[in-house]
Amino acid sequence: MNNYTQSLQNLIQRLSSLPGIGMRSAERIAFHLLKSRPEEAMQLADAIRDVKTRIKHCSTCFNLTEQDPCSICCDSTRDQGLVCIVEQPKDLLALEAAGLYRGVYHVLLGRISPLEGIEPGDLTIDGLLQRLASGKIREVIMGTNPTMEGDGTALYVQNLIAQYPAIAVTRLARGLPTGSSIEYANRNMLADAIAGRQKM
Amino acid sequence: MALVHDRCICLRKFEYSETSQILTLFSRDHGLLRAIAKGAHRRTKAGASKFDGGIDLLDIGQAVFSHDPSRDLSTLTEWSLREGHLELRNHLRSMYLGQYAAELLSFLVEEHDPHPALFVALEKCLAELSTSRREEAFLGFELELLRQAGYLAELMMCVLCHQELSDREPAAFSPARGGMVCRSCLPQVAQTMPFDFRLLRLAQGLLRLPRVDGSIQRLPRLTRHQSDPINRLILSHIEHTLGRRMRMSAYIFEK
Repeated sequence: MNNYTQSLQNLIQRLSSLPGIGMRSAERIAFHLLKSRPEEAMQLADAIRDVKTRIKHCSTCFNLTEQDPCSICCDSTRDQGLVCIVEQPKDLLALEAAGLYRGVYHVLLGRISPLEGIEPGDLTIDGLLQRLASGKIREVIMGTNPTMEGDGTALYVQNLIAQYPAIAVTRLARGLPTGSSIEYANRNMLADAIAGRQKM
Repeated sequence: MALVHDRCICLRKFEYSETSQILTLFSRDHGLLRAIAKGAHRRTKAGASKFDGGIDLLDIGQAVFSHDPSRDLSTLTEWSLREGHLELRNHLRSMYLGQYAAELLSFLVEEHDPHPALFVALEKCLAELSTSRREEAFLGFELELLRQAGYLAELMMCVLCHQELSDREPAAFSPARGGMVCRSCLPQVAQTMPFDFRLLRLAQGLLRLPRVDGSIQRLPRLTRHQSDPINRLILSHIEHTLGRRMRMSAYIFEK
């Protein structure tokens, strides 16, 4: 890489810092960009600039958006009294992709992880409490990941919501994933599935 | 490199990529180790996974990993979940105590130094944290961890004059001296923490209880009014000894 020009070295260095891209892949992408037409390469540069300048967090739900409030919070056909709490915008996207949920969201932008030094103040919990204080919300669905830290975050938030007795707190169901096989389910999945079994 | 089978508890995890994890594991026969689990979150369409879908904090599992103490990172090749502590996740205090136990252990025990009795004690402690006996279970484990790691503070006698501490005279704890200081020696020590002699007697009593497989037996029921001051004393001792703050302490004492 020492034989490359300074600008090419810089580009390879930047690309290799992206997740999942090593030095060889970075070199391949850099040479592809060098070979491509100037307008194509500039479109990529513009796309990166746009994403960093236009996209921000919705002031209501903290989802990623170009307009504030975001399209989900503005959608009058959605149930504004039903809020699903998720850890990250990508969790929201997964739920939206399923197209089954018609309520609104609140993105925490992380989970409480004491051992990693991520504290409640680092999340958007204050914003959630402000929404709850408005009195328009009747149910909160905990959609945090079913991990020790995700469950800890859900319990912490649940304790805070307890000051609003009119708000019901539920969480997403757990157990066997549809399409999988019982023989491959781990102990936790089976325990959840048995505890959460339903009458047929 | 030889692959070994061992029962492990996950003390820390770091999501290294979309599918891989870097873990701090406490294994029964090989001690503390750091391992990478490549493809830990990967599953086949039917749901099969070599790592049972990924490893979570405080999970107990049967692991297969490469073992070479000269290397910083072992490679975990299989993980079969044995205990996921779902009950622990219903109570915030239990969860925090479990993570505090994991944090203390990860700093107080040397890597690749086996402590099978401590492993059993942690396993038992984690099981009891989801019950109403969580405070005494944690304190019992904490004292046993300090004893086995060689960091137990001197609670039986004055660290300076080596005289037995009297119930009638106030004593204090000195993190710098690593133990209790009697009233007559107090002027010789700069920074001390006053400590109730009834709680001191309680802690001394716990240390005298019989032990089976590294776990203190017949632990008395404790309230947080009793366990918190003892835990604080131990925390000040540990933080002074290690020269670093314990991240979980803020959650244990303030939440």
